[in-house]
Order: sequence, then structure tokens, then C-alpha cells
Amino acid sequence: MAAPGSSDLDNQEAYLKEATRKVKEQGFFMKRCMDSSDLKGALNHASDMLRELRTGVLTPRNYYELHMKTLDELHHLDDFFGQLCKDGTKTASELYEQVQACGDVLPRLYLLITVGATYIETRQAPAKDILNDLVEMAKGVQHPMRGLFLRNYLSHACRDKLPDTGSKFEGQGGDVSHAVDFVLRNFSETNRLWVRMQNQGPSKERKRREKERQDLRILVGTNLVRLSQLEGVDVERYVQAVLPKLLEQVVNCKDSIAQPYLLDCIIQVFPDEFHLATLDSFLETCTQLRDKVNVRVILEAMMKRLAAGARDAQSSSSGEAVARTPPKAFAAFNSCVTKLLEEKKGAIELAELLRLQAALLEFALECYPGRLDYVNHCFGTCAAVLRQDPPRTEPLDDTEAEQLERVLALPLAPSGGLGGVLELTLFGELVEYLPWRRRRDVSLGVVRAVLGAGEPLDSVESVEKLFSMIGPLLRDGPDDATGGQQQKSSATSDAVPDEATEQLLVARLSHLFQHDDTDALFRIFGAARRHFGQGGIDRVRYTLVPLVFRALALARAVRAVETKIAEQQAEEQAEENKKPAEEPPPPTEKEPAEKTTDGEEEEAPEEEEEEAPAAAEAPAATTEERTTIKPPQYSSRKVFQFVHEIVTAMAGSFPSLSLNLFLQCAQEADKCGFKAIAYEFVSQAFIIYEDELPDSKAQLRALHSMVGSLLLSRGFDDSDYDALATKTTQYAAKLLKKPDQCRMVATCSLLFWSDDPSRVRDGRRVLECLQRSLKIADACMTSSSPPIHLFVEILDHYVAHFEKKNPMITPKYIQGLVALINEHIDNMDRVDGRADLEAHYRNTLARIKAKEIIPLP
Amino acid sequence: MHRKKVLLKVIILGDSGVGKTALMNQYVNKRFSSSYKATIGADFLTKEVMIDDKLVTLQIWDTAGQERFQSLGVAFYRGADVCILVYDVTNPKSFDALDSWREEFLVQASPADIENFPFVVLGNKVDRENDRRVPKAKAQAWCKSKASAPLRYFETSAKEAVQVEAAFQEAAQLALAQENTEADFLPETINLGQPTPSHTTKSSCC
Repeated sequence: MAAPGSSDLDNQEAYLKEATRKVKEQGFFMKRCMDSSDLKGALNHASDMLRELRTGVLTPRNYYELHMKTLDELHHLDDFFGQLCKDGTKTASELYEQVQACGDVLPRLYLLITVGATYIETRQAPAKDILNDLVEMAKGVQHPMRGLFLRNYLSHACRDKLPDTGSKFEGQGGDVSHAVDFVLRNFSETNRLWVRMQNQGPSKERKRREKERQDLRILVGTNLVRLSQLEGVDVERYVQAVLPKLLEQVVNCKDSIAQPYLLDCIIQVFPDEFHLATLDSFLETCTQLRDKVNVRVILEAMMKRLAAGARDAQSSSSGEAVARTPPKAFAAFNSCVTKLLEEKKGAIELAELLRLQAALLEFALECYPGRLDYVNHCFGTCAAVLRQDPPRTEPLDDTEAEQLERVLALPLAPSGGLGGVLELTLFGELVEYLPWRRRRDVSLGVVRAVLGAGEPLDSVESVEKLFSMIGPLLRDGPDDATGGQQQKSSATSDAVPDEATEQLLVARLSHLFQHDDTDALFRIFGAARRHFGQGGIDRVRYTLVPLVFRALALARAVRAVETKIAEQQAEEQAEENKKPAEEPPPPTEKEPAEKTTDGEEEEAPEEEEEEAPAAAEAPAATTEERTTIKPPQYSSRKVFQFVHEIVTAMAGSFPSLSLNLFLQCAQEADKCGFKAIAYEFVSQAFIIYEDELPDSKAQLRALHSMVGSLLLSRGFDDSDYDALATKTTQYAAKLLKKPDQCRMVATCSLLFWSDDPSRVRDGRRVLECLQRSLKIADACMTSSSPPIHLFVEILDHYVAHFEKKNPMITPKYIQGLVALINEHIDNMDRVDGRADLEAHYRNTLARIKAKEIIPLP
Repeated sequence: MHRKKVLLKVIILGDSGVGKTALMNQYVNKRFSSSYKATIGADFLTKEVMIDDKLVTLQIWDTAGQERFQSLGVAFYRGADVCILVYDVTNPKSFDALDSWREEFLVQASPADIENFPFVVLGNKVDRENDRRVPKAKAQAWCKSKASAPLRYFETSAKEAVQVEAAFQEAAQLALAQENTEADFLPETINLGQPTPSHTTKSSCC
């Protein structure tokens, strides 16, 4: 057996060069003979040239190159033969006889094939006969590599000489069945040669032989391309006459290199519709392969191909009748997989099984978008594979876990188009097999999918279900090194943002909670709070905040319903009163509609006066409909109590955040007309202010929020308001830094002069604030730099209050302050802010001048 | 004088599924099939065309876009007179791959004049304009960036025979202008009748 030895391998280049030179040399002489119409000479030189192909020293790639060079020359001979037949010098049959005189088999067969092609072209003999002859004769070469290339030449030379449907050789030359027969026979001989290589030569060279076989494989696959190019091979012929022969060859060759390769070729070279028509037999073959063959790769290739076809069919809107993936394709793949599972249970690794399911799942998602049952089915198979008796104690290894994660993540991908993530039964069970870190990733996928789909979560059940799927995002895991509390102390700065991003995503779920019925929505909120609450303090800072706002909005909605009910009742009563006196008056319902289930001391009815004007805008509708509104089970107070609990729980850890939330709640309660509740919320904010705020900066920010909230409030009794405003001003006066005190006290002056004339307007208190502020500013005075900027800011406040027509703020204060500022401003140090300050002051003066508050130059 | 006939070797390259075979079939056989059939290895079809009153034979090599179907290497690049690079306008990845196809070709074919070797670039599947994901301007910019004179660019549809004829005609024209200058074999000494001894004696079983 002439496999190249090791020294041959070193000299490949030299061998190839020399052989190529000879081919060119003989080719040159051949062409010279052709020029002088010397057939005999041309054939001799052609034989000499072709003899170079008998070499046994070249590797497949180098042989391929030499082969190509030889064919380049041989094409001239092809032309020459054609010419001879055309001008009548020779008949094709004479040529066919003559070339057989060549003594060596290999050159003779190359020449015979070349003439054979010409012979068919002349149509002096039926194509089928010549093809039959050639394909038989080629058996004369049994050396694998030479035989493979010879048959490749046969296939190439005859590619346009086949009696295919529509070809000029059809009819007398045969029909497509002969064309198919020719290609199939050439294919099976080629495959035989190729497979036989495996068992030739010493076993220590097996590795190299396999490498050579891998190189040579395209010579086998090319035959399948020929089949796919035949016009006459339609679905029916493929089903009946082509594929069965191919599959028979695949199974019978029992070669673990040939089997996957040939199946891969079949998948790639034939069109989708052929595959869909023969899926069952193809898949049946897949279960009959050598154990060494990785069937998963083959099935995956087929599924990928069909899925891609389905995708293209969807995107091309050309309206052509495209073969859609039939429903039975999934069933076919599935039963193939099941069969593999049964027959090769021990032989296939768990990771491969999972990978196979992932492929099947991908196929299902691509071809049957929205078919949850297929997804659930794949999940079921995975679960069946993973469940063991007794239960597995070993965790999945990394590859297995990776594949399982893929299985779980696939339906969550945006392209999966699966709205019903929550309908994935078994998701919870499967996710349990993953290590915590991967579970977190999968959970994140779930959250993204749910947010992406944007479908409302409208029941406690769906919220519970969702939260059961995303546990790792809601609480710490057993193997989580980053326990909620410890993390805070050793906060690794790079880990925290990641966590924050995750928790912000989780927090967004709150916005999907929806229900028209306020009671149902409240129950959903309750469930959510329970789950979020387990997350530890580092999670709730993100997750509970949106829930507070959602709950406040709910409180408003509930309040609106309550108001409506109260109105309805009031109207009914008014109508009753109008009726003739004979009728006994119905029992008057003084009780408010809501049932005060909690211990709040607030009484609703008196506040409702305020709500009345707004609701009275649509009296017609209420009188016409007259349907009694069902009173909500959960009153607005109950909802406020709910947020109160949430915020109170966070107050210790996040004082600034909680303080702001309390103020937010206070505003909402105030809008709903609950002055006592609002007062309570503000009080809570004050408690946090006094007990928890970490530093003076936080205090300053908090005071601004407090002033703002009080200014927005409408419902407080005067005495309550006064208490809160006074307290706030006291806080302001006790700030750590003098300038902060000064500014904040001045700001507090706003609290005592409402824009609304019906509310607090206490000019004296305003003046007191401003005077106090000035006094503090004076105390800031140092020899080097008087606090002119503070004076200017206070001046602004005076001007503003003057414009609000506060009688206590007379021009003389403004006059005095302007004089004070003027006195110092020129002596001011050249500090950085001076230009800004001067500009500010100029603007204030301009305003004073424009309003003619005091005479100015 | 058959050998005086001009033979031009045209190589079509590009990613799997961009439509190389479809373009060749449309050009040579005026046929189109929408179903995808992979090509294995490389093979050519020939077509005779008139270029500037000259009859030339085009040897058009259709190649496998998938590397695993090209296991014997790409020796057939050698001797090419022009290379047609194809991508799919609906598939940006196939456009991105043009660079490596071009480089691979120049390395393997090692033409005498690498700078000026003619390429023609085809953006195929323009019949699916709605799915287009590679803007024409981007492709043109790429063509401009590759050589001192911009590579010729055509937007084609093998399906609807749009610009296919023009593109191949252009390729043939460029090839003719640049015809393979590799010298024909000339034996050093003309040694009539005496065959040189050959190492092929080593194998003789045929």
C-alpha cells in the first residue's frame, strides 16, 4: 500500500514540483501533437502526463493540486476530441476504441472518460450505455486515493452529459432514472473506496489515515451535490429512489467517520421540502448509527436547517407557497430523541442529552412560535432525565449546568416570543438543579422576559408563581458569599452596581401589577411586599420603593371610589327628603361608607366637603346609572397603613430615603383629605429627622423637603399646621453651620405666608424669620469677609415677601439692607465668587427698582 | 486553433448561503431555485462570451462557502483571472466576512500583481429590499477602501436576474484586461523520444 512514508512527507514540495513539471512538459508535447493533428502522439503524451497521477507519495492536498493541473491540460484534449468528431476525422466510437490501447489502467481510464464524454456529446450512442460502461470500468482502480480522484473526474466530466429531465440526452439516451443510477453507483463506489482506507496499512498510522480521510471526504460528498442538482429529482423521486439508497449506504458502511459526514452532506445539499417529506426515515437512520457517532450533532444540524428555513419563510413576504414546518416535525424529532434515550441510555452523557433538548427546544421556538406545550414537553424530558432514584446527591458539573441553563434560558429570549413565561410548568423544578449563581442568571432572564413581554401580573397566584421562579434575586442563597448584612461592611465596589442593576430590574416588576379591582390589587401588593421583604435591607431599598408609590396611587383610587359612594348616598338621601311627607323617611345613613378596620382615630365625613366640588362635576352620570358601587374591602386608610408599615421598616437603615417617602405619603394623605394621617406621616418624618439623620448635609436636604411638603399641604388644621411649621423652623435654626441656619430660617419664612389668602398669613412670623436670619448672618461676620452673599439672599426674601403684600415687610427693611450691603460690597475681598455675587445683587437691585419699592439711583 | 482560445478563470467566493451557486446558475443556465442547497468542494461551469469582439471562454468556479466542505484546500484559486466576492445584503455577517475572503484569496492564489488584481463585489438578494441590513453606501465605502481604484460593485438578485449579466460581463472584462500572465510551459531542452526517468515507478499497482 503506497501511503506516503515519513521521508515522503518531508519532500512533498519537491515531489509536487517535479510531478507538476512533468505534467506541464507532457502537456506541452501533447498540445504540439494536437496542433499538428497527430492523434497518436497526443494520446501518448497524454498517457505519460496521466501516469504522474499514479504517484503514491503525495498527500491528499498535494495530489489534489497535481490532479487539478492535469485536468487543466486534459481539457485541451477534450476540445481536441470534440474537434476531431466534429470535422469527421474520427468517429467517437473509433476514439473510444483507440484510447483503450493505453497499457496502464489509470491513464487509460482518464482517457476513456474524456472520450466517453465526447461520445455522449455526439449522441452516437445512448448516454446511459456509455455512463454505465464508464462507471463499471472505473472499478479497475482500487487504490483508494487514485480511485477517489478518478471517480471525481468521472463525475465532473459527465456532469452535463446526464440524461436528466430536460437535458438533450434524455429520451434515447435514457431518462432521469439512469442519471440517478449513474450518480448513485459512482457515489457508492466512491464511498467504498473511502471507507476502505480506514482498514489499510499499519494500525499505528491510523491517526494520519483518519486525517487523510477527512481531507478526502469532499470527493465523496460531491456526488450528493450532483444528485441534488438533477432537475428530474423531485420530492417524489427523492423519497422513492434517492434517499433510501443513500441511507442504506450510510447504515451499511458501518463507518463512524462516514456516517456523520454523509448525513451532514444530505442535510446540507438537499432542500428543506425534501427533508420534511422524509424526516421519519432520516431520523430512523439516526438511531441505527455506530455508537461512536454523535447523533446529537446530526439532529441539531437538521433542526437548525429546518428552523432557518422557517425563519426565512417568515421574513420573505413574497407570498410564495413556502413549505411550512408541519406540526409532525416536532413529533418526529421528539420520538427520535426518545428512542435514543431508551436505547442508548447509558451511552449518552447527561450533558449531551441536555444539549439535545436545548436543540429541540430551539427548533420548537423557531418553527412553532408560541407553542408553550412544546416547551413544557422539553422541560418534562429534561426533568425526567434529571430525576433519579435515589435523588442525585452530586451537583451538576459545569457543562451539564451550562446546558440546563441554556434549556431554561431559551424560552426567555426576546426572539422566543413567549408571553406566557409563567405557564412554564417544571421551570421551578429544573432551576433547582442549577447552582445558585446560574439560578440567578436564569432568574434575571425571567425578569427581563416578563418585563419585555409587559403583560400585566393580575393575580396573587401569578405574582407568587413569578416570585417562586426568581428566588435567587429575592434572597440570599446557601452558597452566596455575599450575605445581605455582611456585604454592607465589606462592600466590594465592583459587585455592588451589578446587584443594584439586578434589583432595579426586579423593582420594575411592581409596575406590572395591575387590576381594575382595588381590593385585588391590594392583595397583589401584599404578596409582593411579603416576597420583597425577605430580601434583606440591601434589596428592599430598591424593590420596595416603587411599591410604595404604587400603593399611594392605589390609595388615591380607593379614595375616589369611597367619595363616589358617599356622594351617591348623599344624593339618595336628598331625594328621599324631597318626597311627600307621608312617606316615612328612610333611616339616615350617617356612617361613612368605609369600614374603619384599623385603629386610626380620623373621621372621614368632615373632609369630604373638600372633595365634593370636584366630584360634583358629573352629577348626570351618577343619577342615570344609579348602580350602587360596592364598597372596597380595603379602605384607603388601610392602604395608607400598608405604606406606613413598609416605610417604617426601612427607616432605621435608610433614614433619608424613608424621610422622603414619609413626606410623599403625607402629601398623598393630605390630598385624600386625611389630615390626621398626613400629620402622622409628617411626624414620622420628623422623628427620623431627629433620631436618624447621619449628618448636617442630609438634614439640610431633609428640611428643604419638609418645607416643600408643608407648602403643598392643604388640609391641616391651622393649629396642626402651625405646630409643624414652627417645628420645622426650629430645626432650621439648629442646623450645624451658621450659613445653613441663616438660609434655612429665611426659607422657613415661606411657611407663614401662604399664596392662598384663606390660609395662614402671619406677617409677624415672616418678619421674625427674616430678622432671625439676619441676626445669624451678622454672627457669621468675620473681620476679613462679611457674609454679603447671605445678606443678598435675605434681601431677596424681603423683596419677595414685600411683593406678596405682607404688611409687616415695609420698604425700610429693604432700604436698610441695601445700605448695609452697599457699605460692605466694595471692601469685599477679591474672592472667586465675587463676580457672581455682584451680578446677583445687580439683578436684585434691578428688581427693586422696577417695582419701585424704594428709590434707587 | 483551439488552444488560442482565451480561457478566463473566474472564482466566486463568499459566505455560505449568500447565493454563489444561484448567481452562477442564473448567469450560465438562466435558472433559479429558491431552496438552499449547499455546495461541496468546488467545480466549474463554462460559458462562452463575446468581450470586445473577442470570443472568450469563462471557466466559472463555484465554491463551498462552508469551510468543512473545502477539506482539500483551495488549490483551485491559483491561476484565477478575476475573483467575484459575494455577500447577502440581508446578512451583515456575510458582508463583514468579505475582508477575510479577499485576504485568503490573495494569499492562496498569490497573483503576480496583488495590488491590482481585479475583484468584483456583489451584494446579492436585493429582491429582499425590505430585509436589507447592509446599506449600499457601506458596501461602496468598503470597495473604495480596498484599492487605489475602487473595487467594482454591483447589487444583484440571482432570483430576479438583476444585474447578474452586467456583473459577470464586468468581471470578464477585468479578467481579460489582466489576463493571467503566467508563462506557458517551455521545456528547457527539447528531448524528443527519451522519456525522463520517473519516481512513479514507486507505485505500480494500477
